[in-house]
Amino acid sequence: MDRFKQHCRIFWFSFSILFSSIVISDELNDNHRFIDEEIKSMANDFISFRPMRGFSFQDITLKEAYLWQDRIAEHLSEKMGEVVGYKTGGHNVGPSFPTFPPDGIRGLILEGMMLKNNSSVRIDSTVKGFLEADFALRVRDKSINSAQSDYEILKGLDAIIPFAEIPDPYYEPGTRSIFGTVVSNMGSRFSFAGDPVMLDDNIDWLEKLNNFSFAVHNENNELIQEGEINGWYEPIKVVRWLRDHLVSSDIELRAGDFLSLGNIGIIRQIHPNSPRGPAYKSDTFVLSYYGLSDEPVSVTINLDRSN
Amino acid sequence: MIERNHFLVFSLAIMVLILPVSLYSHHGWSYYRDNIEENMKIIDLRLRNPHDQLLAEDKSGKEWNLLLAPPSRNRRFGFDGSVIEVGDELRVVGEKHISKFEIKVHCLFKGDEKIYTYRYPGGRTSYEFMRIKPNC
Repeated sequence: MDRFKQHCRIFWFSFSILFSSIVISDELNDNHRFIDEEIKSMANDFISFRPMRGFSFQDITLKEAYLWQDRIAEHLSEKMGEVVGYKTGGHNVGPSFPTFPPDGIRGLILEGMMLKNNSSVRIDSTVKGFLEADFALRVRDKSINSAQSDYEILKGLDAIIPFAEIPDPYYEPGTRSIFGTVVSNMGSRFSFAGDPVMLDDNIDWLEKLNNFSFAVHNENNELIQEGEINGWYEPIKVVRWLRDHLVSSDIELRAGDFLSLGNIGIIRQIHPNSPRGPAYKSDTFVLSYYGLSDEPVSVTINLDRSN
Repeated sequence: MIERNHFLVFSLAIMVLILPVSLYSHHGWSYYRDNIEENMKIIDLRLRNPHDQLLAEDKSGKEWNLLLAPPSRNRRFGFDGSVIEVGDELRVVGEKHISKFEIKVHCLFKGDEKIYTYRYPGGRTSYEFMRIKPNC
């Protein structure tokens, strides 16, 4: 029996040495490679509508988490295309999502996420999806990267985009975390853009952007909810935050980039049994902005409930 | 009893051996294993989906396929191939495929000037992810 135990120890010692040498010899050794594996699994799970298994590496920095977000985008881009803009969240007054970093979160908008205004989305094309009223602006040129004043930032933008999203944060229960939300690109699935309202360099736009109102109606033009941007967030301040955050990661904004500035307080669950509220019963979600142009501008999402 | 224990230890040992190999084989860069930095002459440009590619010849006359990022991403980050001509000699920094004459390029130099960097969709460079930083 003693000889057996001795053999066991020799086995384990040998294999431990071998294991260590294999891992150390790889250029992507230690946690780096395992994180990369997890990232790839998350991307595959998201694309395949399976629950993402959170993100088990919690001893990294937020900056590293954003690095890994770009890595997951490399995997997602095979199905969802390239970056057409950036999104942020968590800038509203009051409590934000507990799985967002306290000062705000940033994500990528990929080409394949963008659906046309008035598109129909099948109910089963998300698992935990919800309808979210958003607000977006579009970059005019690169001057925005170095703009100092609010007015200079405004001049770096060329349009207001009526914008709504259907994120699909489908994680295994109990595995959500701040890093996981960053790395998984906030579970972004679909975005919808209405017709742009063109901006000019009239300084009045700064006032208008901070004081417009909005509402969501259903297919029967029944009011679902309404609100005002004043007291929620200031769009140009959020653009500045997003711009600074990107610049700190050596990413420059480019002409045509969408900047989704985050939800404006109207969210409706698509699926029943969500802890975040009852399922939306209507078939259409029409988000309109008032006070930005002569006529209200809107973006529409239709839910396809057919089997 | 002893035989069963031997079998258990042997099975565990095999699992320990297989684990890193299987992880490695599923890695996104797993087929591009060894760092390479070499001067090569460009013999063709194939700037099209799914990935921009360059064909290049090393000093021994071997032909290499140089794999760059997808075209739309490269254009977004300002690379359209116009800085490269057939016949140019470039310094190629990348990862060599384990069985093919193919390199996933981290960056390209023309003389001392870096003319290409492989970027992920959000703009981060591929070499930022490498544990041992390539010479980019």
